[in-house]
Amino acid sequence: MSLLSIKNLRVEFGSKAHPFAAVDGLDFQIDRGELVGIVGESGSGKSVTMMALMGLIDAPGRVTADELMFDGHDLLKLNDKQRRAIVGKDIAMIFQDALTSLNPSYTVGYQIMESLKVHLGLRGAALEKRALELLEMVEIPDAKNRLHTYPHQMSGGMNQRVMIAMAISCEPKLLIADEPTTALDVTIQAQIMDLLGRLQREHNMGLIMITHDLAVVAEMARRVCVMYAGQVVEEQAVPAIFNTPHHPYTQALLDAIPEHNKGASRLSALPGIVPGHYDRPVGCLLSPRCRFVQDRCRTERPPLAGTDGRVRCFFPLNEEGKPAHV
Amino acid sequence: MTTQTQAIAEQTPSFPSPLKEFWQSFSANKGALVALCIFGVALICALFAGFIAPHDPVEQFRDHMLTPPSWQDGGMGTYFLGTDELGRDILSRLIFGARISLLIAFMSVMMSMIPGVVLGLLAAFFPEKLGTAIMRVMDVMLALPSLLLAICIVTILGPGLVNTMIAIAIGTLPSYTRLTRAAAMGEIGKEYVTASRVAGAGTLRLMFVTVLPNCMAPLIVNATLGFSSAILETAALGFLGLGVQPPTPEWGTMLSAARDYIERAPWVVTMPGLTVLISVLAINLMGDGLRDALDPKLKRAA
Amino acid sequence: MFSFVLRKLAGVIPTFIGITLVAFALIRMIPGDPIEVMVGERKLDPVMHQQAIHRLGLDQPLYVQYTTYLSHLAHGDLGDSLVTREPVSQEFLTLFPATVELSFFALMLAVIIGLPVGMIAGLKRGSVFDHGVMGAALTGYSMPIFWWGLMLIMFFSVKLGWTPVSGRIDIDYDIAPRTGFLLIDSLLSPDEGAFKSAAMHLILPAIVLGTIPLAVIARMTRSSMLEVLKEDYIRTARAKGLASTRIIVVHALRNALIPVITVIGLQVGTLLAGAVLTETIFSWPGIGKWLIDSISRRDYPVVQAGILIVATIIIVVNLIVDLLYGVVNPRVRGGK
Repeated sequence: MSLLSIKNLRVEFGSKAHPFAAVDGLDFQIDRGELVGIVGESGSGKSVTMMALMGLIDAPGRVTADELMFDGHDLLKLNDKQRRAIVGKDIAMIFQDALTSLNPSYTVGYQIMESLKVHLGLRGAALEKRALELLEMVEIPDAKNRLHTYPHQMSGGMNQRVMIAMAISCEPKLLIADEPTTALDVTIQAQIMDLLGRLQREHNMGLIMITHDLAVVAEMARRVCVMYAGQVVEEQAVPAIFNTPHHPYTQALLDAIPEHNKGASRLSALPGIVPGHYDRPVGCLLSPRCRFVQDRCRTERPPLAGTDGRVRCFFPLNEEGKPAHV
Repeated sequence: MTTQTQAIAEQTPSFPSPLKEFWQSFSANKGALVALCIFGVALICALFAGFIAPHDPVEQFRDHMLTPPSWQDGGMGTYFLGTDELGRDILSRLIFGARISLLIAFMSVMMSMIPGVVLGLLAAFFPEKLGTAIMRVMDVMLALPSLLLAICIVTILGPGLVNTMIAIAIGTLPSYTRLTRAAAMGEIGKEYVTASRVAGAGTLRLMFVTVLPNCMAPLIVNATLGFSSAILETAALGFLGLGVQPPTPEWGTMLSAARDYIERAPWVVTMPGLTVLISVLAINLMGDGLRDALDPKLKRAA
Repeated sequence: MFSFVLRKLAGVIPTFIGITLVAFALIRMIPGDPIEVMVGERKLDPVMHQQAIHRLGLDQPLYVQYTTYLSHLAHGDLGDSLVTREPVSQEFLTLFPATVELSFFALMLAVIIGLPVGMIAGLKRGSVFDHGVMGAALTGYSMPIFWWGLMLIMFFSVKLGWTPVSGRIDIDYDIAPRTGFLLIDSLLSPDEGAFKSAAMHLILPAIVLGTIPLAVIARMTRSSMLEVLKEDYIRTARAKGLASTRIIVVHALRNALIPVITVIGLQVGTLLAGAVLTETIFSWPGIGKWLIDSISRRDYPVVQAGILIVATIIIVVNLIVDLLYGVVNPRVRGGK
């Protein structure tokens, strides 16, 4: 049985008459010890999906799903107290901007120890010992003094390490990392990614890595989900997805990577923009922008289907080695 | 799977226009709408006082001094809200009072906002040369609450309607300067200003055409609140005998003479103050509604 | 931390000097020379006029007059009242405690009611309580407080007879002014019922004066709470599985209260301005009433001194608030 199983997740905002589906029928699964990447541009719904999972979506947002199972618990049916026993302990999440995600009025040590106190009931010397261990695990130098510093006194990279320490403090089974390195310098990015990878292996955690940077997942993930406008449009194993992408959107993402455009005078880019609240296509959501579009794409929504990988397209690319239409 | 073949071809997005969006937000706030209507009534009273008021506001009906409102014992139909201690019709005085209050409020807001905004822009665009000097002066002016500053000015200039306008204007000027300077300095750092500058826009154009429109939201809200506090200050000055002088019908001035009649003729005290309360409340509600509707929208308009 | 304090102090000095300039200029800006202004409509013998000008040093160049003024200030000499011939500073010290007592209780009222009410309104946004609180607050600061005072007097003093109409205490009592704060002095005095009388006299004026600060504090606390609840670190706290009580009390409150401190400090200005009106209505013998009476009596040395004192108080309070803000908000201190 999977650690996490999501079927037909839908997250709506706005009025009931004209709702905006930030997540529109999403299916997703991950096992213990797996590292899966979720890739997509801004507005694809990748963050909203995870927030819905953690129970962080408030009214007027509405979360519905056919199935939302974690570790044998039905997340849809939990009451507040039961959910809080799992969130922060067995599922943990780290966010993009570590500095604003930490409380500026409390020391770093206080915030790490908080989870330990609340979920594991640690006190006194054991509490401080564990906090120090965690800081050392995330490779923060001079850990003993760092316990008493404030977030604004440390760099972005340090703060992100603190966030990671907070998240893994109760040995979670699943860690969700929402663009953890986007706000950091390139060299720090690499360090944080290495740290996450190492922690994931050492603790056999499931790790969901949300990012818009394909290079990041190429190195670490076993499987990648590509999201567009609130839906999963492709899911494949690494490195197959990079060599033979099936969905035109995935292809476009790969084409846009600067290294793939050597010698070209212009970077290749998809024309148009992601559909928003007022301009959602009737058919396939990519149809207004897709180079390979056909009549059927404009009128019907394609389902997510396939065997060794899944793709949401009537005319997937690279099957039997050639695109459907040049 | 849908079969709406009509919707295929050109799926033009139907974004509502900025004005429509503003009105949608504003009118969703029922309180703000009611407030707008009340303000409308006040405005009509101010503009058409001569036609609406049943009597002359300064005419003294010596036979009917201290008549109660028409719904009480001893009240008379002609003097709907009763008469004051000199026999003047209260309703007419209130209606003409609207003209005075709105006029003073409007003029003082204009007289403080325009120089205040200009000074704020100058302080933002020339921080070394002008900025420090201007803000120091503003700091001094801000060390006194605006009412006390207005009282000072009136002490120097003497009481009266025009002096009240000037006094209130000087009292509120520093807040516009501060606000504009802060907003402008925030905008100057942004890239669209640099882009305009690189494209060759002169300082004057940068100040008024590029940056100022994007500072308008907090300014408009502040102006609305300034309008309502001007009405309160006018009334306060009138009450203290330092503002508009009798027999001119100003709501606060009406209250100062009425103090002695709390027991005998409470309506003389209640009515003018109630009018001030309702007007100021309406304008503040409108200001709140404006702020809620404007803020996110105008920021996007950059 | 020390350098932070010094910097703030240094920033205040030019403003203070500016205030002295304004106060100095005040009398001289009134049309006519100061002697004529002080004398009013009475005719003045030209010889006496000249003598008076010389005696008061008004024939000196302006900058000399200003420096003389400053040196007087440094010695605590604010001039003499034209009406009572007593030193202004003395009158001020007699009357100031009354205003302080009134303002203190007004502010207490505003904070004790306004803070919790604003917080709860922010937590229960959109509820009946929230709308009620916001409506009341809006009415509170839309009100002309002099009218509000009159209405309360009409209802509670005249109609119901619960509270007295004016003054600080029943005229029957003669309390020795040991601290100047009547509540304390009346407790210390042997007279029975003195304390109760003093307290009863204080209630209505404190309510009237405290109304606007209460409204402002409630609104500010609410919006601060709403702002904080939107912050990323609250999202993190929820992602940690913390209970809502803990999130509110530990994570939100501390940060929400920071801007409220500034607002409470700023209310001092409102209180002083309001004191002018409140003391006039309730015949409360404080510096507000003193100021207004002096204006109508053309006691200009008093007016000049009054303005200087009020502005100085406000500058000092703002400075204290700035410093306190640095204590409470760790981000501001280091100069990062």
